[in-house]
Amino acid sequence: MDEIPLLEVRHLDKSYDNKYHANRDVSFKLQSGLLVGLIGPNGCGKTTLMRCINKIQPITSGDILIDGESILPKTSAEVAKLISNVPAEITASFGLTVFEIVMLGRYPYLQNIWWETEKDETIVTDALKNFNIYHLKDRTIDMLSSGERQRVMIAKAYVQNSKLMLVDEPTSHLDIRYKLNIMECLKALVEQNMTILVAEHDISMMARYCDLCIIMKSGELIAVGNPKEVITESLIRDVYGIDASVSTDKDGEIFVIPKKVVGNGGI
Amino acid sequence: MISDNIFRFKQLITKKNNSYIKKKKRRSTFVFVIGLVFLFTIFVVSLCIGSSVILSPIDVLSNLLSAMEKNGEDMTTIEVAINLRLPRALSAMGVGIGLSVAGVAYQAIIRNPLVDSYILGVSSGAGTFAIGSIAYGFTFFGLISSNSPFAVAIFAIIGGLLAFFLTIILAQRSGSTTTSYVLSGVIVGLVFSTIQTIMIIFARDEALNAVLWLFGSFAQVTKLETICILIPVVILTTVIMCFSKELNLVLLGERESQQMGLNVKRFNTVILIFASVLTSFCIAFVGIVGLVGLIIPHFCRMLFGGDHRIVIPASIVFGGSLMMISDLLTTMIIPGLELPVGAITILIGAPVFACLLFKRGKFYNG
Repeated sequence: MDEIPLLEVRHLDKSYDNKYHANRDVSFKLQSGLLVGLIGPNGCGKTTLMRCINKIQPITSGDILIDGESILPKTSAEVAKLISNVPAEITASFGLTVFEIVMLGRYPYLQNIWWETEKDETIVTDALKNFNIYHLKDRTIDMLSSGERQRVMIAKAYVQNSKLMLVDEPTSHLDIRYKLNIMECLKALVEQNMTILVAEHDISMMARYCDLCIIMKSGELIAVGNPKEVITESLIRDVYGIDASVSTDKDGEIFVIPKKVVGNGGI
Repeated sequence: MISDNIFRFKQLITKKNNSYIKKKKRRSTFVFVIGLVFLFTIFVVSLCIGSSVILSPIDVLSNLLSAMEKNGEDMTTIEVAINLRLPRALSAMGVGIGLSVAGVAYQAIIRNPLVDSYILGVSSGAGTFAIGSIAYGFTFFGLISSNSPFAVAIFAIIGGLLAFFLTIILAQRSGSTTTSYVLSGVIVGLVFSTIQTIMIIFARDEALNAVLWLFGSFAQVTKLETICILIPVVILTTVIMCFSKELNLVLLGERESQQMGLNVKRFNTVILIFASVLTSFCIAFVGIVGLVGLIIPHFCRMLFGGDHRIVIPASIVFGGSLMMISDLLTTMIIPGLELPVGAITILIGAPVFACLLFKRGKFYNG
């Protein structure tokens, strides 16, 4: 247990300029090689927490450490080599092809002023093949389905060669098949010793795939632990303000069925 | 043994052909070289054709250097003609390049295909101040002599940058989203163009000169002014081009590119200032030439893809060419009458653009 955690968040507090208090005293540690689910109702501070971790938002107080080193004094270029990010959706591509977008993931490592190197190209080509999007490499983003787009963004984060990947609602627009497909994709990355923190609303799916889950409500941490132990009917009632039935199927997987709203929820 | 070698050889060939970066390098060199040849051809043609004499390309090429060296004394007719046409051709090329590259930068930073120096108010600001100087001899409270040959240009630059900063302040105060940039630019531009219209209405005698300035013309450009256009164009275009990779990155959005290690706020502000200074210098000496900054970047994106390492070199060669062709046409369409160049760029640019939009318009549904 003396091992230095890959990610450690210490007493993180974040208030926005408009006094909105998004994260209150959040502390947790993650070891490497885990798929971690970040679960909580809309507006509970999941996205803010992620933006604080990858230094897009400045934090109000507290500290964030990667491999025991604080990221606060680091430049954003240094942080980009440690932490990668998969956004919930991608903006207009302006005619960039899939290959060019994935290649942008190599930006933190580029030395040349003009072209990438052969090595960058090999890494990108391998990633495209790994995520099964090599055949799409010359298409522009607008020609792809949502699921394919998501895989492109994951590939882009992958070639960033980071230790920690933050994924924000990767499956929100996807059908069941693509959802599984994306989660399998992330699972495969974790097996290569990457750590992935994924924010997601589908609790059953999180319980199925995650090694660890972090439950948040109103900017505070409610529980951290093995999803099969943490996710209970009373927890869901507390966090979401709904009655739900939590059971296990014949393979021992948890599934959650929402029943009815009680109170005004945890927002 | 032999089959082994053949296999290795095959591998070598296929590897070479499949290398994406090499393919791209070849493609961008190809586009740039073809474009340069095209640009140079049009440059020579525009030195050949003029109102006085029509020269052969051989005459032009053999007399070009001697015409540039001599300064007024004992020049042959050919050298006189070249000497008269050279500033005009070079300034047209420079303005075409400058406006196109500035347009590429604006569109990438604001991530909106609609944006150019018109939309951001820069042109209206420059126009308003220039008309103040042309029609009313406005001197900025005596700071700049209205007799100075550079008065109009200096006013145009001040006006352009003023409008630009108003737009940026307004946009950044309202969330610096794509929409807020466009809306701020439209509002600032509208105010300036209204002032402009009011000034033209009351200008009476000078009204025609003012309106002509608004459409742009290369007819009166002097050697000194050409140099004043070319120097900022060469410097700022090179600087913007060096940031092609970053311009690709910002297309992903502000948060994403910051997460990738780019200081987005600083980068965006610096590039927007460069693009606006570039635009202001271009239109200061020749007047507002419309649509080039909007059409050329799109034209290049639709033909060669979105990577700025191809889009910017392509915009340089095609922007310069389009402007020289337009300037040539100003004197050729109606003999004895010179049309404003801004009208020509719109008249040839718009149909070509409409055709391309028709075929490749879906490109921007991202």
